[in-house]
Amino acid sequence: MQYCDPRLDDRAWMTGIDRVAGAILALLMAALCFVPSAFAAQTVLVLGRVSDDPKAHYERLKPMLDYVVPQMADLGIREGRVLMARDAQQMVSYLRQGKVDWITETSGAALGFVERAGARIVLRSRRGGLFDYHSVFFARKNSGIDSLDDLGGCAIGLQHPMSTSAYFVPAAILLESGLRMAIQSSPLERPPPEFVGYAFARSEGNLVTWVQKGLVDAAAFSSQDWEELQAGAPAQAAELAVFHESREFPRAVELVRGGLDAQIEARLRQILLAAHADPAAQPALHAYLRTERFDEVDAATWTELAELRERVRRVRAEIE
Amino acid sequence: MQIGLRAKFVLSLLATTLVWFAVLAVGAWSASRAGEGVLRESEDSLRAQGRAALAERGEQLAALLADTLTNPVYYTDLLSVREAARSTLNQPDVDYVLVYDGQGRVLHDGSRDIPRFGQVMDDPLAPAAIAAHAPLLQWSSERLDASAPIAIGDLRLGGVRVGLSLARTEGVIALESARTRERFRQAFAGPAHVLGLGFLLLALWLVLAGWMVARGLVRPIRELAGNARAIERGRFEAPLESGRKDELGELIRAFARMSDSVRRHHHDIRKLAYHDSLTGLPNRLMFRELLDEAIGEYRGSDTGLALLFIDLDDFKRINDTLGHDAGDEVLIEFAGRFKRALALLDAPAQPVLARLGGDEFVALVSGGNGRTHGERAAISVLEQLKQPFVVGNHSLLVGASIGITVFPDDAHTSKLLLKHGDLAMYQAKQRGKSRYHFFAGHLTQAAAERLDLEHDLREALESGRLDLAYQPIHDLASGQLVGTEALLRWRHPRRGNVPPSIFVPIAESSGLIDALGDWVIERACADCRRWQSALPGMSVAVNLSGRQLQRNDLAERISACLERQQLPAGLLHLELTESSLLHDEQLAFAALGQLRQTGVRVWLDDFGTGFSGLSHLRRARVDGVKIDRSFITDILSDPEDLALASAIIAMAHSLGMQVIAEGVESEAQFALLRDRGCDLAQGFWMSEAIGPDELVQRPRRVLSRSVAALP
Repeated sequence: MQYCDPRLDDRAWMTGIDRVAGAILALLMAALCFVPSAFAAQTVLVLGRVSDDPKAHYERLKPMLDYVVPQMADLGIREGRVLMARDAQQMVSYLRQGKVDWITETSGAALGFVERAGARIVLRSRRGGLFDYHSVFFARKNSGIDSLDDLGGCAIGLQHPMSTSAYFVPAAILLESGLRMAIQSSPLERPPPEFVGYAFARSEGNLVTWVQKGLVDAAAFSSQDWEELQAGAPAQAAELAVFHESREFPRAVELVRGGLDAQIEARLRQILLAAHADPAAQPALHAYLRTERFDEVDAATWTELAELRERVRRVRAEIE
Repeated sequence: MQIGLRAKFVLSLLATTLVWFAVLAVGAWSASRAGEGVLRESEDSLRAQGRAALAERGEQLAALLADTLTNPVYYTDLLSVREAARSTLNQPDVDYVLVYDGQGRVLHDGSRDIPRFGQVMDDPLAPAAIAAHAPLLQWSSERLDASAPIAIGDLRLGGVRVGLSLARTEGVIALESARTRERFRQAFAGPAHVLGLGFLLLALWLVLAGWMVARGLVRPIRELAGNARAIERGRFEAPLESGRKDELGELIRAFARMSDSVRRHHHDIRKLAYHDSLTGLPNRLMFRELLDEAIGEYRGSDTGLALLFIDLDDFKRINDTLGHDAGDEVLIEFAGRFKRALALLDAPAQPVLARLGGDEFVALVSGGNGRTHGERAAISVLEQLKQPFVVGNHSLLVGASIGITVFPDDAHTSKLLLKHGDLAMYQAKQRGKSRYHFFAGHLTQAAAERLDLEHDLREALESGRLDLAYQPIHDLASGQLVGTEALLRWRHPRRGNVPPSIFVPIAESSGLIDALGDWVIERACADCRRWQSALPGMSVAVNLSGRQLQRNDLAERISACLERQQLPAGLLHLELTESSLLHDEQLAFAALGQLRQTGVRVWLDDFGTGFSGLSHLRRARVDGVKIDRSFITDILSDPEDLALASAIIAMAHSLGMQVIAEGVESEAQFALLRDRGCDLAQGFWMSEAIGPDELVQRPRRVLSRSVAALP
């Protein structure tokens, strides 16, 4: 096991210091290296994510780790690892075991980890120019679905059970509007009138197609997705109509595990907050799920998160 | 062993075929080799292509699998790993799929219970695959091992190995090769069939050619050879004919022409050999053969053969007096008459005629009674001779003596038959000529003796066993030796001395007299020439027979002889008997004239014994006469003989001739004749005949003591 980052052997920064002082400093540094290992021995920073495609997500996360880790060398962090979890439960388990230090997640899922694994939200992320967005319900134009009330006995397409904008929020809204949710193995099924059936389409594109082709009666995803649809495929968007929109909620947040060393957490916050100003961080930021910058979680955001937490809890409670 | 033309031809055809076959075989072999080469190259190319495709596919498959398996491996989702592995394993040429972790331990092999799970791969290709950080292809003899690492970013999770069987590729190659081979085979099958057909046609052609050669070439040549062999054996068969237009036809026609020419030459030669060129009759040779054949044919049968041996009477005289051309004409005419005579005969078989030589003819009359037929034939021949022969201006009556012998009564062999015929003919001649005579056994002795003598005389003449003795001739008045008379002596090995009175007639009748006479003259002249040195002027007298006188070239021959021996003509005296002038007086006197012109002296021998002596004397114009010894013998006692002798002497002197007396045996006779005026004398009293060398030793002169005693 190596206790010191090899970079410490690079004495360039010691220029001007006399040899005796250098030697003393070297001893001190060795002591510093030794001390943390005696208490926590954390040398690896693990960035986690729930993913059904670890291969793809690895490429997105690793550059950010590579950007961050070197800046934590003085904290004993010599290595960065990406750890993918198949699902939320696994991630919760990782968090509980302390196997994951840092997670980037949508707000809904993040709240689940906060709730169940004691993770803490430390920063919010801006992606696509937005810190916040909302969910939109859409159906085909002239489908007769103009409001949530029209959805009884209908099938609705959602993305997947970790999605905030396309699962937690719409499901919560439907529950709040008094509809009962029934999961379907196929989008073609139809529930009894008092139910709204739902099926996971896994991707935004699928949702659009499902609705357009009538596989499902309606679908919900983020406002950002809708805007992208309108910009990218206006003809397709023109056939569709949004019949309900949710309130704003944070788009994505950065979490750390509960027991993470404060120094490390602080350093991470520091690095990430400064990243958008660091040109060297730009490739890593872009790869990092097209994140533009990180920011402190402000009060409004906390409010939104609180509301969202309630919705997530309800969904968990009533559906799962 | 001799190889026939046909065999050679067939062999050459066979050789040609074999060479052709060999060339084709080599061609086919090299084509097949080339084909094999192409096939191999095609296989190699296919294999290379197949391997390249397999490599590409293996690489893709491994890469795809690695990609697909990344997430399942990451989450150790063995079910998904299995599904991916199974889907790959379902592909027909995939032998195995091995998914392994970073340490090379088997994670999955696609099976339900993964028996090797957790085991480190230990096959030969494993280490390289495990160590590789990039896709890797490894080839074994049976398969391609394509491996690819499974990683997330630089996080090495393990890898996957796919075993792709080469069997499919090899199968495709084998299939393609088989197809190519089949295409080759089909491509070659056509030509092969054509070649097969070609060979069949060639074989047929071979048979046909052999037959054609046999028929068109060998058979005519064999026929030619057979014909040539027949000609070699003397059989001239029907000449070959050919309508062919080619060289062989030309050869056959040329051969036929040559055969014809040879046949004609053969015929001519045969005719020359077997026929008498003058008369066209068979000659002695042929007659002997025919006679042998006839004897063989008639031996043991009850019918006989009659042989007629015919000799023309006095034919020699015709030759000598009228020349050989006239003699030949007579012979030709006789042959014609002979044929006619025998043709007229009513003989059962055609008689055979032949000329044995000279004036000797024979006829063989066969069938029936030989004696009767022979006699009839002889009569018929003699009948034909009753008409005279006209030769030039002369009309000649020619007789013939015919001896008849009969087979098998008189002789059993052809040789003896001929001899007996000859004897019988001689008998006929003895009996008076122009007659026929059957052979009779008792006649054989004398005739045979005569024949023997003739034979021996010929031999003696040829071998020089004859000698000349010389009886001196003295001049009566002086007693001086002036000449000699040459006397022929024949000392026979068995008989001792044979007197001229015996052998001269035989020589005359057999024709030997010419050669004998020539020899005597030649020898006498030679001896006389030798004497001249010791006895100059010594003359030599030689007796001429009547036959010699009849030769029209006598004078020429004597002149030539004198010249050869360089003897003055006057020293040679020729003595003629009166009788020798009697055959043909005109001819004889002409001959005498010619002789005298040459310068030799001519005397009449035995003068006084002939009947017409005086008239002859007048016409003959000789140099002298010799008083026959019959007058001298009794001249002393018989007044008539003395008177006759004296008259002859007087008469001769009055005609300018000299007189010689022969047979003077006493001094008294010598003296008397001298007194009567006789010029010369010869006789025992002076000397008997002596040898030529002895002569010069003799006293040159004899003296009569009693001369003076006489009144």
